[in-house]
Amino acid sequence: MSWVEYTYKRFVEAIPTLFGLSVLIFAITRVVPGDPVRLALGPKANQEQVRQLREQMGLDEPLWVQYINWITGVFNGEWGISLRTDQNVLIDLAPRFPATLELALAALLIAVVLSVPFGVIAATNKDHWPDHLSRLAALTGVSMPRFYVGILLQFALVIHLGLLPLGGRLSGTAPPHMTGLYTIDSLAAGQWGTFIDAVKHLFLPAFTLGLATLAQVMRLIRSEMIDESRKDYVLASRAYGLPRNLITYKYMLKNAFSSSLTIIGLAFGLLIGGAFVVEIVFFWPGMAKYGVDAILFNDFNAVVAVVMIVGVTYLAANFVVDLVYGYLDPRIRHGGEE
Amino acid sequence: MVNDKQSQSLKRRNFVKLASAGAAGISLAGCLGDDNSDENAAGDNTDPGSGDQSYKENELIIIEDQAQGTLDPAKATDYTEALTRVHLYDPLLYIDPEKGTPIEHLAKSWESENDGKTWVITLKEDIPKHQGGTLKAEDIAYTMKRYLDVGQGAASYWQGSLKKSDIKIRDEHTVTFTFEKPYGPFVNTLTQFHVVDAAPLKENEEDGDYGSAWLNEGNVAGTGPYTIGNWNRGSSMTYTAFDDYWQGWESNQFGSCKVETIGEASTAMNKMRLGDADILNQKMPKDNHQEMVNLSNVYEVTTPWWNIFYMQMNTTKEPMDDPKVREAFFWALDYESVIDDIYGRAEYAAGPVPKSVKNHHNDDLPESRQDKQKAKQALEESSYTAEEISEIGVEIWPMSSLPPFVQTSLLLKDNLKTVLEVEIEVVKKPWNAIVDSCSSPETTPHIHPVLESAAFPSAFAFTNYMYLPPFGTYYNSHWWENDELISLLKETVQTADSDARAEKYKKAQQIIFDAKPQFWVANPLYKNLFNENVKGWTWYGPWGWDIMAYNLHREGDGRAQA
Repeated sequence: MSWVEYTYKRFVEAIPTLFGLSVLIFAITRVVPGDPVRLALGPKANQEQVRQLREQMGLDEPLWVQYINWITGVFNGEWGISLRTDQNVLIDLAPRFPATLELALAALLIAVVLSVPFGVIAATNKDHWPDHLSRLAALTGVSMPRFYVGILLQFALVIHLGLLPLGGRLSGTAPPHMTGLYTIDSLAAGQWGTFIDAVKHLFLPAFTLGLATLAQVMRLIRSEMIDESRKDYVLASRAYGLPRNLITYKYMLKNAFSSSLTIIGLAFGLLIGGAFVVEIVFFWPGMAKYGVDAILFNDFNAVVAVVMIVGVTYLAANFVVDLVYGYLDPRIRHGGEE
Repeated sequence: MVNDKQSQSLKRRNFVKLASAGAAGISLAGCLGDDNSDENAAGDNTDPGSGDQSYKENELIIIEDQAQGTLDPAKATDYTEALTRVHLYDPLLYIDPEKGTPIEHLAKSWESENDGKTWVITLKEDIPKHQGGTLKAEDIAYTMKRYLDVGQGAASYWQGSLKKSDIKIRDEHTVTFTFEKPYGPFVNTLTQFHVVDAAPLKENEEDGDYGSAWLNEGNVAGTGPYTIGNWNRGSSMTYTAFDDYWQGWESNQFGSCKVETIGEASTAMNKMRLGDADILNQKMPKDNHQEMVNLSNVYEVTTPWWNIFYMQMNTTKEPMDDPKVREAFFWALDYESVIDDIYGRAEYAAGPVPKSVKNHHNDDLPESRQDKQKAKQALEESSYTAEEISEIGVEIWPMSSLPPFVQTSLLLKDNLKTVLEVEIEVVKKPWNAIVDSCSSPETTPHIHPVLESAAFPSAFAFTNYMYLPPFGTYYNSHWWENDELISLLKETVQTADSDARAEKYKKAQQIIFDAKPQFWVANPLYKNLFNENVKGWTWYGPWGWDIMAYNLHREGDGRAQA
């Protein structure tokens, strides 16, 4: 199967998944108990005001009509009005999604960049102190709550050492808009000062968010590397006198990394949706916190939009993982062809 | 085994191309993003006038825990929206901080005619508007019609008693409002009447929305001291001085006010600790608050508040339908612990109206204090025994995200067990579940804690809103109707004379106190944390009025550091 065919096939498969997700989340938000309109208008609103707003928002229509109106509106840029902000949800999410995306990408980058060498070091020093240290670090990473890690890092690196900012995305003005990711936008605009500032603001929340993923991937790589080290080709390579680093990083790591890809793909979706605690601690103006607030407030249009974006992102991330999988192991893409 | 040709088909550069395409796709998704640097209001500040403009260098930073909602002053329903409203828009009347009564602001006079049915409002002249021109009666008339049609926010104060057709312009600076019957609280409600500029809103109206969408883009059309300088949605909003503001600017005032949304208490505390913020306007646990007060660069402002913490009892459900049971529960609670330990500091409540609502509070009512003897006696006189009440399964539903509510509920549970040998259950619920449950007497819980504030200087919020039918909201879900009280409260609405109205409010409070459909736990003190160099804070009273950057100033060199 060619790459184009493979890509097309995966894209087509995603459509029914997204459709099903949209129907499910739309229905759930409309049928959960509670009157979000009453909540939004406040306690002093009378029945007429509630009725009026419900009518304005189309909530007096049958559910299937509401869904058709909504799905039509999505393709026209009308994602529904948020009960909390009184705005088109698309406008609410426009600055927030890139913020969360940047945070999640940075968290993933930190996790992958650090987990690979640490995992390899742990594997190649099995049962020695680097291995024990990595085990301790991994246990800490998965067991400590994110908000707690974030607060500790704030105290250590911000309050006491003054090395990094407390939170937010930037100290000054945002760079000219291109993607909404301040690191990329500032690089594109040649604003090195802004880039450095953006990286400084990004580091702590990204590290906090990515720590658990780092720990998981590190341990998985360690485990896979140890399994690889027992295979015949490794023994043969050593017998041929190939350099140790070449065997480790070129041959073993490539094979060991495949199974980590699944974790990374899953992790990205979780990072996008689960970033709200980090966003709260570091007052990062992202989509995750917006989504949590929407759920608590029963802001149904916002909930649907956030869930759909997370769903699309999840599918996209897994698609990329599948592509990378196909590169690392052509047998997967060719389905066992000779 | 894959042949050479197939392996060749997947060269590194092909993979890199695909990866780049994926990255481009992600970047395209990011193109939804706004350019925050361009998120400026269209607030059309006129050219700076002559004179000292050093106020523009002064920036006040306020930390809030809730992001900005609507910018439309006619739709403000929560605290943050009210806070923004008082900075961007002027009300017709201000509030005297000493007496808590309305004083002139945009309006220079207000008189009643026609046996109190008509109110004649005369504006001050030459008040500049953000979008150009000066304020006219037409703007006032438009603002009221807008409130009535939009039908949200403060509109409930006037809907039902004022028609659009009865709003008349008498001359360029005079407007009249004629009600079917005298509307006593009307003048007080004008402290919540924030005036908009008719022309730009008419021009930018879409689908009959009165320009609401245009306002929510970040535009400001009023007369207030600030416009919107920058708005990072979900993160911060910066108000920028309107240079031509009719009350002028002093050099030490704040020409810029940034409201940052920080939900995490420790992060907010650290910002104050580092001297990166001026005001910490966030509800936090008592211990955290005390920790902040102990910092050398932070001081606390504290004052009685138009706010009451009470327990709502569903009088249609057994055993709360028995007034003696309600009375027994009332006397059983350890109020002192609530005030000293749960709130840290508060005042004892004395009836349904906070003591700080001057002129309207009935000072003859006793404070809420625990009295075990009275509690036991009331239970003995009731139609239920302790065992029967325990078997019924009384539930108290505190809002799960508010620790004082939960702690007070647990305290009540313990007190009832200790004093009356009555068992109740504490069931924590999210806010929207409580709001929804209060829509009918069958679903309203037996007891649930509520915190209510007044939006304008009057006992109205604690009497009429709570005790005039229809019921069915979280703050009046006691479902208790008393004909004498209803008649009296309706009279207050039609009593134009403020003193006469006050007497009626006091009488109403006695009726309510005797029946105890609620029990009034405490009047929490307003507490807030300021950087040491921020001065000039004054207490005005209503919700959303507590912090006004225009009325503050900085002393000393910059923000004080810890």
